[in-house]
Amino acid sequence: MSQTGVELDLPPLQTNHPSKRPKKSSRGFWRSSIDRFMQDRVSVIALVVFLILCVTIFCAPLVSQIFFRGQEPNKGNLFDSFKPPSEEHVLGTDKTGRDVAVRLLYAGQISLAIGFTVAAISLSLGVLLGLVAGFFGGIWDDAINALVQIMLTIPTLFILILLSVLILPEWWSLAIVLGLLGWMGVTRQVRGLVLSLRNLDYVDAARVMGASNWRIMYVHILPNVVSIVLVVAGFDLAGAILSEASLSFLGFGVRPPTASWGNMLNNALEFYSKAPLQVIMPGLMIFITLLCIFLIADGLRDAFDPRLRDR
Amino acid sequence: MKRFLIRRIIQSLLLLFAVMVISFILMHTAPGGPLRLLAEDPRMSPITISNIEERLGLHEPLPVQFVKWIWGVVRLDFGNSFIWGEPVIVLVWDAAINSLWLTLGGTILGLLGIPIGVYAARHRGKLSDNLIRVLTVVLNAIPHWWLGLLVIIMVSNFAADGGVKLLPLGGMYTFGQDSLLDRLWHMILPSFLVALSYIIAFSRFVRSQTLEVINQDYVRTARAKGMAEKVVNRAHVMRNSLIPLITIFGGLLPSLFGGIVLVESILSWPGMGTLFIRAAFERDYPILMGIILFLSILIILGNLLADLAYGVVDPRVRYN
Repeated sequence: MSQTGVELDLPPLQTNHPSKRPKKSSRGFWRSSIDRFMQDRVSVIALVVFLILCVTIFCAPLVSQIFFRGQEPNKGNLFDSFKPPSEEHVLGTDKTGRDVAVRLLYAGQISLAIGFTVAAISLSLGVLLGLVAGFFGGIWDDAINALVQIMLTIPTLFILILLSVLILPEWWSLAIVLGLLGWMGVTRQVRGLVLSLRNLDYVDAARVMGASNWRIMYVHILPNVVSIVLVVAGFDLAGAILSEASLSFLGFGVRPPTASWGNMLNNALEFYSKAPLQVIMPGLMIFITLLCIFLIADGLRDAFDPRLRDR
Repeated sequence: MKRFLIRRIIQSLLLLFAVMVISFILMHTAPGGPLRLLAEDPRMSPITISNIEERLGLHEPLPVQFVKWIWGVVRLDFGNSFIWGEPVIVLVWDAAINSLWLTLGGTILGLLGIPIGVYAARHRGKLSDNLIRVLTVVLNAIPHWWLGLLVIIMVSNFAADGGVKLLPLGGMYTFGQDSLLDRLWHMILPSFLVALSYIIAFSRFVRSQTLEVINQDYVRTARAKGMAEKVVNRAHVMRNSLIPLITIFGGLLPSLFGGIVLVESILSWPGMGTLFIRAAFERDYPILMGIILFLSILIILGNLLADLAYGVVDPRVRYN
């Protein structure tokens, strides 16, 4: 213990050494991006609202227990059909006497689950193909580009209508189909980025040191792509939710009695003069969800690349 | 130029072929074909069903069916509809003309996005710019068909209360009076809904392009040599910022067609979307393939034309 006292008396020899300089403001890319994101009030509000929405929707049974007397989404009393909003049914009831508020929550589960699944599928597929196309080039690039061209030419909504008539999809098969039809944007972005990255010096350096292609891709290139991919993922998520809603609204997509925001709108359409709230609410839920996602994605983009602000 | 054109045309044909192969496979391998519907009818004996199958040519192996279909397409014979019995080309053509009205109206209204984008860029950071940005974000998050529903509800409520019908609630013309004015009146709401996504895309794109061009050296040079602000804007800024717009035209086509399906559906417009949905419910393969073929041709053609037009307006683009 006395040694410390001795050391304290010594002049601080090492502080002038460049490597031991006190570190102050050199934050990493992620740290500074998060800080920038947090400074943008609109994005943060959107994030909070979105998180609350997600938690409420995915805890729907619990929320229903606490606030809506544990009503179930697909059980209704025919004598209660088209009840106006009351204390018992906050947003009224639909044609078969089911509580609209509870159905909205459960419908959100389907819509969000489809959205997240589609985003996950299209991201993993898109990133993989984009990496391969950009990195290996040559015949891989040509093949993947051709595939992207073909997929972009297919009139997506028409194919979706066709498939959902023929296959009568569950929500997860619908999600898989949507994912398989929606990865092209990610691939294009990632490919472009990888093309510019693969000739940088540090990639050459890694190769000189004997790193394999996959290691270079995974360790050196992928981290540089992640930020853009995250932003695109946001737009994919929104696109998937919108596609599902449109499809279910047309009467395809998710089948009743399972509720989704789209098919609730479809059901409510006949009775719009009788129960306008049922046409308004599902659309409002879609709107709020999409708005939050867009704002978060915009905020992320600005945070990752501040030069893009105001664009 | 000639070689480029030939290569692009060959590419486009291959692309079209690939799209059709994929659509054909998806359609025919999915369970629940037209015969499944017939089999659910108790009056149908198995022999009748197999007779119908033979008549429609569905008993042959898939590759044979596909080759027959393609051979028909080459001779401009797209087959007959399973349910209506009429030639596909007649049915699709009629519907396509009706959809064209919407596409045209939507595109023309959509061009409004250009001045909006230029205006926002010129007033960057001011209240009007921010207002436009907020509005585009909000409008982008609203499903446009839902907006259409709300408008219909409001109009019908207004008609019920005030007795004045501001807009028609659907259809293409008032029964018994098919005048141009009446047609235009029916087109207002659907074309506006179709145009919305164009307006949003154009105004954003034009705004960011204009902002980029405004800061270029040649714009500063033009100002420095005393050119009038109006001329700078017209000859230097607008010209260069609007050229890239051509490229996004082609890319927007698929989503335009998707939008048309929804708008036609809520406003019962007798176009291609409506036809497709009916045909899909009835598993009318020839109609479905015909519409997908038609749309794919339009999309591919749109992209090709956009590429060519880009080369014409921008001399820096070379074809080789």
